[in-house]
Amino acid sequence: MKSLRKVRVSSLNLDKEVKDILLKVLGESETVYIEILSDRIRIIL
Amino acid sequence: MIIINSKNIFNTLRALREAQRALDSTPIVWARRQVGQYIVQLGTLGHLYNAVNEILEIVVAASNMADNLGIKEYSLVIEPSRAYITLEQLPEVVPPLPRSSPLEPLREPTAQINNFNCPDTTPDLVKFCIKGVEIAYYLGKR
Repeated sequence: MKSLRKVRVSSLNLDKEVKDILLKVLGESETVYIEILSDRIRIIL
Repeated sequence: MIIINSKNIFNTLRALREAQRALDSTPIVWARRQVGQYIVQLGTLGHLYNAVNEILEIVVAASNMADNLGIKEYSLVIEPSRAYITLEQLPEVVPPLPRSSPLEPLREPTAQINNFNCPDTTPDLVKFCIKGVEIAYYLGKR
């Protein structure tokens, strides 16, 4: 079973450009699930 | 024009029956043949079937008529718009059929799936990828 972590958008550690857009669209307090894949990070809204 | 001698009526009937059966059992969706200049495929087979059927009916009707009239030796002439029997012994005319050759079957249509930059697709997720990040959304199960 792959591990999913629940994370607030504001504490995501991502490329700044992508994170800024997520913050703008979702807001700082919104939580998302993240899953670490071999070549990328999956963010499930 | 087709001319058949009364001696060959039954051979002709049998050949037409066989042609009909062959057309019946041809899987029409993928069958493609080049016959002479023409490509025979879905759509054409119906016309061929009708043509064979029409000639078959004419031959049956003509042989019945000859029987009723007590004619033993005759020639059956089939023209595009009419057919008749005559007592004259005409030379037989059967249009030569070009040989058929198989054609490469049609390829199934291909569709390109837009992965929106992601290297793969995942069941139940709608997603796009940007700079090593995949943004995904679960599709509710229906």
